[in-house]
Amino acid sequence: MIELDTLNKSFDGVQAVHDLNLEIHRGEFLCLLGPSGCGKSTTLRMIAGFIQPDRGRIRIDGVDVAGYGPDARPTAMVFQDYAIFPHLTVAENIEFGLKAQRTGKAERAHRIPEVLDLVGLGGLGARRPGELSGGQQQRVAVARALAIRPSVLLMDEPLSNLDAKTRIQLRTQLREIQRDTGTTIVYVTHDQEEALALGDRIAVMKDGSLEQLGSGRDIYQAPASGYVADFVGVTNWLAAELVRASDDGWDVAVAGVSLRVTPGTTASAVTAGAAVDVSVRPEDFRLIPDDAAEPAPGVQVLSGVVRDEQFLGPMVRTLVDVGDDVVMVHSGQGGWPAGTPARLLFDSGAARGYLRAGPSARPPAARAELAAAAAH
Amino acid sequence: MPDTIKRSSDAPGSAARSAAVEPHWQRRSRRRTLTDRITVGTLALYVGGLLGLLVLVPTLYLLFVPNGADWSRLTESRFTEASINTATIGVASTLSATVIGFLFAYALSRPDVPGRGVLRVMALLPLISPPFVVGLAVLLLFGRRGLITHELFGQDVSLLGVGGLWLVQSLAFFPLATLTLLPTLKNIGSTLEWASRDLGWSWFQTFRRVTLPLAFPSILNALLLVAMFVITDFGNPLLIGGGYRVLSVEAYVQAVGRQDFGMAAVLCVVLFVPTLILFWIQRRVLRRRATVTVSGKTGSLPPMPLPAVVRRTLVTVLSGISVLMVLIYGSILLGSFTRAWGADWSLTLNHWETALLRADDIRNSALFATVAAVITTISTLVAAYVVHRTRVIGRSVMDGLAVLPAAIPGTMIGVSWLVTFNEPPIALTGTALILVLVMVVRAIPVGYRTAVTTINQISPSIDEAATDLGASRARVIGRIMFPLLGGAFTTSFVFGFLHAINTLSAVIFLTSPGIGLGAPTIVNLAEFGQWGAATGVAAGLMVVSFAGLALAKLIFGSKLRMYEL
Repeated sequence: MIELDTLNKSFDGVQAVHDLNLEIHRGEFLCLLGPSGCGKSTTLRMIAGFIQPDRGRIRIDGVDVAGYGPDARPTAMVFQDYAIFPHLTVAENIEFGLKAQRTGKAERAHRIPEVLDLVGLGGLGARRPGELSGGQQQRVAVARALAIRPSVLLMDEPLSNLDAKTRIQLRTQLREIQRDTGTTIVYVTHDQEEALALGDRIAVMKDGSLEQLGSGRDIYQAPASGYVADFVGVTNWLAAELVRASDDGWDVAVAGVSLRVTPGTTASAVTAGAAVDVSVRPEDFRLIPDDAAEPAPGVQVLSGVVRDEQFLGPMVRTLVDVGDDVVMVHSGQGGWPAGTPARLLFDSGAARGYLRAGPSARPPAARAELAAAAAH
Repeated sequence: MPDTIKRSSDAPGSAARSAAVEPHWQRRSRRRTLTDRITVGTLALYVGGLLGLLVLVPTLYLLFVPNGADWSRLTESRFTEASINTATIGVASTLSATVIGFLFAYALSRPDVPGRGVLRVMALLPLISPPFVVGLAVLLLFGRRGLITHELFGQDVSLLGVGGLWLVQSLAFFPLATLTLLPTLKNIGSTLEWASRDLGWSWFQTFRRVTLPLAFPSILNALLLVAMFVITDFGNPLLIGGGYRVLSVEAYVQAVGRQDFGMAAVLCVVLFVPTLILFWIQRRVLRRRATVTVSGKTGSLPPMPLPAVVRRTLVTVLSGISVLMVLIYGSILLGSFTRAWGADWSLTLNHWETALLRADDIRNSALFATVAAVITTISTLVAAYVVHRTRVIGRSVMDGLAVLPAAIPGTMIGVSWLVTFNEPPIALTGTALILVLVMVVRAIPVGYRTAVTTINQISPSIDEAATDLGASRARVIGRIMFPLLGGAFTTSFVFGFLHAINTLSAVIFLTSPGIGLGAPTIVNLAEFGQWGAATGVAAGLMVVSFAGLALAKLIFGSKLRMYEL
């Protein structure tokens, strides 16, 4: 229902969106995920009609919208900073778009309380925006956008100005509203957790292009690149060297230990001796005492020494020195004294190897995470 | 020393001993409290005395000058007419100046309007030159022997009178509105306008339903500010009002022409009442606006582009006004090189020689304005400190007196000073001091506002920290406040200088044959038809102003935060 066809946009010579192709289905909740500057907001603004693409087409409901301004497109935007009109009451804010659509008075009187109820603000129509909390203001913005019954609801980091609790509350509410109304939503965020919680599908963007498109589960469990593995969720990176590539997987050497991992990319031909980064999620490690019985064959094993432990509430994060690396292990219990020798077990399916592109040993985000954890 | 500290922090057993020998820190604290009180007391006395003498005394004194007969003469047709004229031209010029000011501000807030650099200069010119220069120029261009009316079109009509005054005041005072409106128009933020477009409204409807309502408090504020300047304007009505008499000019005629100070005082009070009301409302509006912040920051959304039609219209209108402005300031320059405007158009350097001969006036203006700016800057910073950082009694009175001169018509200051300081106990008439001090009064409100803004930006925890570390009040002021106020210091100084050098209405009453000033000299020369000399002095005065501003910009660069268009 929305088709983006080789979209391109650059600002002052910097390519913000590069050959972007994306198809968004009717009734879908699609998250555009990526760090700042990846082109996700630019994409959203091109769909809304705030900026014009340099090249490429946007079709909404099969219609090329190139010639239409934002007022003519069947889209409604929810902004990061709410953009509630401060000189109008809550009800007048909602009425604002209805009037523009020349909705009849009776219909307006019907629809305003309806959308207010939908976002849980029933009875607050007479309030001024200044009297509302940030979360309430953003609900007004959602109600205002829904009131005009757009084909697509565009949301530009709508929750990022809110505190953590309100954010999670509104997140849940948004999903329910989307399910109840069947509205198509394109949701821009840089928060991977938010994207996982909300999106039917997630489009991970990098440098203006689509890096991976899929369900949250796909993207978390089978990241198509080291970039995605690193950006979505938390992961450990182990520097490795490729020993042998076969149909069953890759045999790699990590700090002298031979391991079997799953190739992360179905990429081109690989040669033995190539540098590889291996990603293992912290929850995919199992920590056992050094003197425990030999694990079952097929299970991958690394040896290390417990460095520190952090109690995080629902789980415990154990930091383990493995060679020169520090590895995070998430478990329910913990209880490992510092200095204890231990072994880390994981399945080869949970370890994904990526050919190292640049000279840097692992993507910087993970290193920063580790450095921060280590400094803790 | 360590011994004392140790003892004072000793176990409870030594309490009896330390009661006998007062701990060192306690004694020091007592001494500190005393010196702090002396410091604050001295500063408060200075501020209170200065404001009392320069603002309160003359204003009150003026109220007692007229007798009952003077008051009853108000109903004479001459004076009722002047009142009605003041109100009429006041409303007309205020509206037109605010509309022009809005157009300039709107254009300056839109990155897709071309030539904003030029517009910025056009809006800046009237702010840093005396407002009556516009009147003088219109006289040259559209007067009876005007370059355009007479020479170009051979007409014997002139714009003298209410029409010309309207034009002149619109052009002279629109930058005040621009300056007031620009921050708001910039802050309304593209997001709200985009939201309106996104919800289905066209550009025009968005302008009407979002931009204008959000700018409304600022527009009101601009109207009030411009109105205060327009109805107290003195130079322009004097120069081109012709037979159209307004209160400020009438008060001048009564005081200087007829030596009737009672009547002059009455007219000043009549003019003071509306300005005071406008001023009071403006302060209220400002305060309320401070609590209503416009949400929807600019964010990273590009500003909404103007429709081509709107952009073309806006550019056309503003170009027209800009051309007029260029003509106006150009004619001043041209006039200063023309032998006899309207009769002999040959070029000459005579007027510049005269201006240099009359250099005394310009030099006095520059010198007195500099001294006045120094006094104003220091005094307003001290005043802001006393009012906002101490608990001295009478702070609110001082605050009121520091902003009040903004509401007092210049004519009223002139007349009140003339009658107050003419004879003992404080006889200052005919001295340079009275001119410097009256310039100080004119510059105090703007300097004070700058100082207060800056001092409120310095977190109280900074001087609390210094006090906590053992610094005295005097030390906090000298070592913490003054260095941190550096930027405000220079800004306030340049503002003060420009206000002082351009003031006309207050000083025209107080200059004496021995000590002239540039601004009154220009008007006097123009009144006698000595265009060349008048434009020569005007050009000279403007050169000094611009040079001063340029010099300050050169030295202080971005630290100088003023006229941010």
